[in-house]
Amino acid sequence: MVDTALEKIVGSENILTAADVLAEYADISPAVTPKTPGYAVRPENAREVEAIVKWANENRTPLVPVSSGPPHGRGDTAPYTDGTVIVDLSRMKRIIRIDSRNKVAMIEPGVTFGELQAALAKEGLCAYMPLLPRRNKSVVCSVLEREPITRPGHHWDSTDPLLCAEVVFGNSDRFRTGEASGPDTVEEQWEMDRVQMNPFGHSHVDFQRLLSGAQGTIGIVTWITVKCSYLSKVSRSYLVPSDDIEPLLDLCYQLVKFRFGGNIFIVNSLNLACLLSSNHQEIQDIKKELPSWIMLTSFEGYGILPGDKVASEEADFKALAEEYRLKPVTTTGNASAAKASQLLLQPSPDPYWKTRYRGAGQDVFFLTTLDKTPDFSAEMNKLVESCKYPPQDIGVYIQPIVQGTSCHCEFNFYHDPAEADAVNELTNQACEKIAAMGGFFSRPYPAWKDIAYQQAAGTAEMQRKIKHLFDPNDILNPGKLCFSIPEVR
Amino acid sequence: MKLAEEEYKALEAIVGAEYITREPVILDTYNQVWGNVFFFDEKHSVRPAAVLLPANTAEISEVIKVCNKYGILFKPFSSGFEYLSLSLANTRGILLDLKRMNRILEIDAKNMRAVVEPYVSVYRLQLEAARHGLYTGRIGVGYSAGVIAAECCHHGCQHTMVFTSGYGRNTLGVEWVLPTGEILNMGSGESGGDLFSADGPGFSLRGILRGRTGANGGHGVVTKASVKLYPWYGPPQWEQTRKPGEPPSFGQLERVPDGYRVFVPSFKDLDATLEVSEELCRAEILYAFGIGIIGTAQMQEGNDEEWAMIQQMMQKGNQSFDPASGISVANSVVCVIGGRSAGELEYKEKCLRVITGKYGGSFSEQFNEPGALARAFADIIWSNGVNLRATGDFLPSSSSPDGSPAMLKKLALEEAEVKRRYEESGAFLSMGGGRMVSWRPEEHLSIGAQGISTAQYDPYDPASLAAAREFIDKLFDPRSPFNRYGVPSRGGCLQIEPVTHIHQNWGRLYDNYDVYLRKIKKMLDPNTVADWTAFIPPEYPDYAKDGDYVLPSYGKEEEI
Repeated sequence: MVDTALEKIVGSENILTAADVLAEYADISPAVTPKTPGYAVRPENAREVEAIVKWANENRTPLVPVSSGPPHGRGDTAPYTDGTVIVDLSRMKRIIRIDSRNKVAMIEPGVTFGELQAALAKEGLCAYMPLLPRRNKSVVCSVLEREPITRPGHHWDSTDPLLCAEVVFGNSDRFRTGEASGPDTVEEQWEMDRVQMNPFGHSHVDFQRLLSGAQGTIGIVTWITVKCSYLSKVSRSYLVPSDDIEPLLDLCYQLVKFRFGGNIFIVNSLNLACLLSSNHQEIQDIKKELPSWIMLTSFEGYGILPGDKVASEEADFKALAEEYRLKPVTTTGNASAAKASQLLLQPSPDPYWKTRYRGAGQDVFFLTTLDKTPDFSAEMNKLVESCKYPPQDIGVYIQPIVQGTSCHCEFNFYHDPAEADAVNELTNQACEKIAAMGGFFSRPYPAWKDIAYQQAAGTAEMQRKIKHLFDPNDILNPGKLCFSIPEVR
Repeated sequence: MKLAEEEYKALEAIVGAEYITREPVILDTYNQVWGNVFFFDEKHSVRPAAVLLPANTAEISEVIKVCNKYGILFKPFSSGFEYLSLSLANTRGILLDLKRMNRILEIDAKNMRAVVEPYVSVYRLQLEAARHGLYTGRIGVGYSAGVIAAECCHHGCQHTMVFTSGYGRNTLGVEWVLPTGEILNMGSGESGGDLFSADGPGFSLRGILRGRTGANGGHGVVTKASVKLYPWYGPPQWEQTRKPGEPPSFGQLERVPDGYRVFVPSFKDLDATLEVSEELCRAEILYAFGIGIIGTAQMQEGNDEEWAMIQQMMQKGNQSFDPASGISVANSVVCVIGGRSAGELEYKEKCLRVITGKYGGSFSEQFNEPGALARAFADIIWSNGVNLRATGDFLPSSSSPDGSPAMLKKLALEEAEVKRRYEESGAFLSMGGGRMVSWRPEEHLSIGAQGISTAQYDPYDPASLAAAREFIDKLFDPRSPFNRYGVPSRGGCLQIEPVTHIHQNWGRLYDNYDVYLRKIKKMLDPNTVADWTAFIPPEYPDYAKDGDYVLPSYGKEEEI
């Protein structure tokens, strides 16, 4: 029975109760025990979100904010308690403003990468993209979850490209972070040339850092501003193949340190094949022609001398590659650098690239430094062999972040959906191994959150105190991160 | 108020008798810095009850536990440059002088990070990092500023932020002694691993470590930090030479180091200067950049010589070195580019010349002769320090928010109109009265820039001091026309809270940020033992008000 107060807030047409519809909010991750949400509400704006959070506090009803479309596979939006109300933000899909001079876009949670890229292109800009996100992936969600972007030279801080945000905290206070706070509406701020581009503060707290990586446990974000890049007028891309990952890492360090190149990342042959192909057979055909490892790098020309920029970076890149006895190519086997680079500007075409090889995939990712990645890779190979999982079915993605000071290291255990339980067990073992080796689970999704927090007792204690300040009734996404599920509702 | 013997002995037992003092003559060397007269009416701020020099994190933790036991206020500092790094809310406060914790613990050249203790200065890290081909951004206040102070605990803005970022965005790991004495390691360091990320698991505790500014000791002691480093294109070592008999301040580089080029183009007016500045910054070619602030002149040996040089400059009139062409400091910019190859430098120089040409830029001999460029390089890369010497004091960044260049221009011009009156009356030093706007770009302008403006006044001239306070009161009054640009200094920079009441006055206008800040303070420091004068009061005291506005209360209150 839907509360009439809630109907008054969003209208009965925006309260979803049908079982088949609610099933779409279920999480397919084997790491979570699914609970069916009571219903889903679809607010239209921040005022409605605020009212929903107030209602939830009065009724002690847990809320789980969701902004991306299905399938949900990481467990962070899975309801952990019966009666949970999903706050589906997909109706909030305005691109509120694009400021081309300052390269800032203000967007609501329902905006997808495809929609944002199309709008930005008209202004001569482009978004900082994660690696081929799902077509219905929310930009806001991706940014808040610190999904790595493929342009490490522009990734100054772990929160990039996040700038400012409007949020409804768990106590129902509406708040704007960084430069966006103040007595004026955002429209009035624009009149003052305040464009919500500066993320600091207000004051002695960086509030946006408490939202980033929070999995919706601190507040429900109703818009963010993101920094954008110029759309390239000239672009040149290369694949750097190698059977040995070490020289690729050396080159990668140099490129990122000196900020040569735009997109820079390393994948193994299987993942490059998955990115470039549309089905299992094609993947196998492409993969067999590839060396073990490939670095993709692109040179992006924009500004007043786009051609000169690309030429200059390209020359240094080639000289560096030669130092490490590497040979950059534009194609290798059936893999084309230009095609790969073009793909990076958009979400993944369907089917999603991580499902193309075997129908499903379990990701395990963590932070480390580039020089440590070969050790992790070797250990994963050993581990899967002991678990009778075929090593050739592991995808690897290494993404330098924060201008090369660390990297996102991701293993993809591709599998038949029917093998989910076995892969879940493999994932557990992999996570334990990774943690023991010093891998850092900065983004603790349910599959490895317990392992992550085993080594972070002080952080957990502090996070619980902070959570209490912003969400004293534990309304928001209970049970995630280090937070327990309240026993009495 | 002195500490009881039992209290003093408890502290002494932790650090040893050699590293604690309550000698008044020594204590008073710790609480006299610039800015005191402005805020406290006296040369000295509140005298500490004792000063301790702890050796390590364990000692600091124990000291803080004693503070909790006896209700003693503590405040840590490293270089102690600013008045707010030494101010105390009451006389039962102790200062923790961290100069014994001065080690560079690690430089990981490959992963571009350094792990340092609190008394490692920016310049010392710059010297060491250069040996590894790396660099840490300079801080405006000079060579001796602490790395941890700038990155984790205080403010710290700089002309290299265009390339090296700042304001805490370079922090990769932190060891933090909380006001309860507990030790918190953030991020990847908590498990004992390498300090390459301070974020998580989950949301980042960097959010409460600092915002635009740090807590200035108001929520504990950062005893170790890992900071991000950036490429250094110059030599592993350098020497600033001087002729026999010249003072140390005359030391200079003979030329701009290989790997860098410096240009000081000038433009016809302010509008052109600011337009070209935006385009240069967004071209992603700059290593350091300054508008209207050109350190091409030598620093003089003493204050009298410095003052004489300024008088000479003023006589030349309106900062204009060449009235015929209109070339002036205000309409000139310092551009430093760096590159690891000749090709990279050539591209960047070509780009710079095309952009400056588009706006009619010219390269005057005066600013662009090799010696001047070398001096400009040294000043902007390593910082010669702040300009306190002309009048003995200054009001830095009086409103100074961060944001878009267009907003900062608007604000600076409005603020300059107010300041002009004081300059014309002789209360503030006038550099000629020309229109001038300066901002410091952050990350190639991708997150905006920091507005910067200064007013120089004489704290020992009653009229000048009164004018300085009147000027700041106008900017800090939330009923003023400036209230739409953001909280002064974005709510934290150089104010003394018991005097200026920034949070109490402005929080309600700015989404009640102060409510959360105060809750965070209480959560971290339940017994209020970490000094809050440059953070936030645990409760708002009942001060004199004009309507909603809490009036400034200049002067020293020893028992707040």
